Amino acid sequence: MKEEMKDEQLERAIKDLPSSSPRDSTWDAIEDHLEGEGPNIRKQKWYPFVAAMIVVLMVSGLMLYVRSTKLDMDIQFSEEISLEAEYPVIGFLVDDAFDELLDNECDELSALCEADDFQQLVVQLAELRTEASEMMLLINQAGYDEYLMKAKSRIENENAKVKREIMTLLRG
Amino acid sequence: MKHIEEKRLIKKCIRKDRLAQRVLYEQYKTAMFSTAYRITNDWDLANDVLQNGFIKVFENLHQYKGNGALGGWIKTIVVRAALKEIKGLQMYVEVDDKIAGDIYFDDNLTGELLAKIMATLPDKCRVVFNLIEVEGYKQKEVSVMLNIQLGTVKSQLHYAKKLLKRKLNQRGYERGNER
Repeated sequence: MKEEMKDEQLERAIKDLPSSSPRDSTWDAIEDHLEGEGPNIRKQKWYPFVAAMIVVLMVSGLMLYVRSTKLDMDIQFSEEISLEAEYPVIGFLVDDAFDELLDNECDELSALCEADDFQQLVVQLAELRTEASEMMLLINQAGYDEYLMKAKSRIENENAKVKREIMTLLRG
Repeated sequence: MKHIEEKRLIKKCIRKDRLAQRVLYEQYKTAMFSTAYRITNDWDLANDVLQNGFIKVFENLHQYKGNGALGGWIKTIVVRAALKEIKGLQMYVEVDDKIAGDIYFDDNLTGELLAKIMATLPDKCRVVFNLIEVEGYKQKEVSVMLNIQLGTVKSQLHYAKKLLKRKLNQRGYERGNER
């Protein structure tokens, strides 16, 4: 079969073919791929990546440290650990006075206390107390640890914040 | 002047100047995407092809020696990327031997209509038709690109035109293929 003769009408229609545009995000995807290859003259985008790596390493290091400390404990100490160490475990964050106040207020404002948002706060408070007790146990086992102490502070702050929110609701 | 500017742009792209790379991409993206879309017949796939194609362009731009237009060099990469996405290009298609002579189209054939009809063609003959009639590759080149016999390329092209003609006739265009 010999090569077919050119068709003028077809050629004209081909020249007239509509063009299409890609989606805007295609360049972003190309750029992301190129960013992974090497240094970029225009801008440095490695900061988030490095920051993420540092966080991952820190968390991994902490987990390893906690685990290894626990293992050491299991090996080194054969006697029962006294729970009356530096930090009280049971009852940490428990506030009897606050609980009594809550009971009294809820006797009078039962509808308010049965509302979903109030109940959520009460549950949150209970969870924080449980978390606090576990944290104290850990601190007592681990000994002084800056990270754990910061975590303890976080729980205390959170506990105070929830109590304030409860009081705000009760006071209207 | 344009040639010098292009050379400068290419050098910056090779040095991974992201702004220069963006400029190059913006310059060619519409043409290349249109090519990819006509070959793949799938908008999402065409975007993937464009993405992969340009990544290859930037990774291999240092190999471009300047013999031949940059646009042609880029198009070859994009076309190859598009062809990789088409499955079943090795299918055998029989040609109706009763067709005699060349196939011609009437003057009511517009670009828009042609694009619509082309999209309905089977993959293989659509690709062949695109590469030869639209993108301007020689039949021999297409034979190498698709790794098929030259005779098959000719058959596929003939089949594509026959189908196009038939579909146009079904749309109400009446003109025989005799001249």
